[in-house]
Amino acid sequence: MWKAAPPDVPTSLDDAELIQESWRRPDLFAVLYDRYFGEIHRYAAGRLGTQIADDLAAETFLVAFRRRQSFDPSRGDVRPWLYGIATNLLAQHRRSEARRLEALQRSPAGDVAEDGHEERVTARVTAASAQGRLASELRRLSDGDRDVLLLVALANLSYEEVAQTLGIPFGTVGSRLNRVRRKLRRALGGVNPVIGGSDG
Amino acid sequence: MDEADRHADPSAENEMAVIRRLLEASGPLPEATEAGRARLLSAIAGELAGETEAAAPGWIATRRRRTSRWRGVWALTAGAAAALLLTVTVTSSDSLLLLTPQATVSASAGPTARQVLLAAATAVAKSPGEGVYWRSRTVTGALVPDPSRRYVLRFSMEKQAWLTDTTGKRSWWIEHYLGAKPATPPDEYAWRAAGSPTRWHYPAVDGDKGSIVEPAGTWESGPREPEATALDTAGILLATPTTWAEVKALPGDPARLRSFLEARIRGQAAKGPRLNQTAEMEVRLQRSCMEILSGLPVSPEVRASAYQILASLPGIKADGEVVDPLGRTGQGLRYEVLRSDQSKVSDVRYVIDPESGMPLSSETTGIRELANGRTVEVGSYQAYVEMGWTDDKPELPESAQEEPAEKPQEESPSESQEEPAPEEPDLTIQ
Repeated sequence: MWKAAPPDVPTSLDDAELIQESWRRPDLFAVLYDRYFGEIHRYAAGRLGTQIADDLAAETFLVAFRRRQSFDPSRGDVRPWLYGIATNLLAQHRRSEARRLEALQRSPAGDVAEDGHEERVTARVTAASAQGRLASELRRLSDGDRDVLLLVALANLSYEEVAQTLGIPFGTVGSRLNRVRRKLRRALGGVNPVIGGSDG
Repeated sequence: MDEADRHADPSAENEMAVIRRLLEASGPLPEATEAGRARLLSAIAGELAGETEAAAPGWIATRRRRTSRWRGVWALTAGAAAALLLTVTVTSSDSLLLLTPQATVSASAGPTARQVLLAAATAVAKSPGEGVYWRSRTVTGALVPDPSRRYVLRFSMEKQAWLTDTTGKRSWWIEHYLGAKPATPPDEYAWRAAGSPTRWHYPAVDGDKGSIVEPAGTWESGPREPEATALDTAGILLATPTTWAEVKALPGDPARLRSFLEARIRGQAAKGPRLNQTAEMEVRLQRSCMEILSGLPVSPEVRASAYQILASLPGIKADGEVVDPLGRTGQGLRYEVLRSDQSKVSDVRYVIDPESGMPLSSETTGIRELANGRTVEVGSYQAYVEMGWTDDKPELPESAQEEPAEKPQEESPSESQEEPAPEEPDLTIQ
């Protein structure tokens, strides 16, 4: 009896069950935090930088906790639900995102201070001009297109999950993504920017 | 990086890979993760507090302490060392703790409780009985709600008994409090939300409200130095100190041992609250047998007799092969402690090593509700790591090099819970 995990250790509960249990036992919600804080933070930091991400990722879980009774498992999984909240919060930071992309457009390696892997810095410098063009293109995308693109590129969500995250039809995700990727490829000149150095 | 990219498919994945390279962030710093968790926990705590303001009574804080004769005697003898023990309190009759009334046939194909106990009696009768000291080493754990009942703490301690009646040698208890921490992840969250305290103060306990474990005094999260106490006794029988002469005189025959114990129990009852139920006699018999088996330096015959008495008592069920709190396999025996209205107070489980007939552990568990309504498991276990005669010598902590003064401790009912002797915390199992 003492050896076995106590009955209330929630390790065996899946995300949706955890949320449901947390109606009665709010403390269980912290388990979701431990499961997803890291990746929500990485997504937010990719779009807004670490500093804003610290706050936004934490805020995501506060909002999720307060709204946990409105989570509806029939409309999707917990993970896209959390990304949806994070993406909504991100919408309040559009200007910061634009400024960041603008900065990256001028100097894609300018981010080094934040994560200073030398390797990565080198790679960035090599790819600088192509990435600059990409940053510029990202900045010009509509908010909805950028959301779809970055949920796939940064958060690795499937089309289905992106649809759940943004509350849009599955088909819309595919068509938006195709359109956006075509634009990006065009901006990159259809050449691998890392190898090509195709400034010309 | 370049190398890898040369091999990558240049068409499909490319712009996505470039985006990742451009924007990818490393994970959050630990401080950011901690800060975010703290924000969430304070929201959780806020919600819990909102719900439970009314539901959180003073718990034991508002109870009057009733003096307990047996705990008084116990404390007198054991002095400060009793502080660290999980003491078994003799229940006074107003708590009416009963064994399950009827004997139960084991449903499994495994051995019945009776068979397990009789086999243990046979095995233990063969154990050697020579040595300067009777030594036992016990690991104890207790799951107890914190004083505000928001989370469960796991207390740990270790105790060694070195008992001898060899002239010129002293008997000792060496106790080592190992600390306390939140029991499970949900408890840890609630503990953090409560400000991560490292010290808990429990008011003095009224000993007979049917709680399983109620500590008293102040406990800290960190371990203490081991403490040694010199003893003038051969151990505890019927919650009372007993002498070597008495221990040696214990009958090595089940019928006579039972008569002896029943007489002692009646004698105690005559001085204390009245003992008016057969079932209550059985509870006390059962407990005294466990005291003999787990704590007293008795002969193998007395040990075997104690098992035979246990085998004759109703209400004990066999659990078959089980794992004890230290992960050892043994035969499990279980009974329920009931109130007179049949409501369950706790489950008690013993694990016995069928090879040696020695007890491996005894556990008491029950279910309690926290302030927020969460039901949790509480209780305690004692696992016997070593037990038997030895010619080894105890290694005493430095503090024991000079004799600790035996401290006659009078009953000091502390009605107010302001400062009940923090240097003498006391965990009581009932």
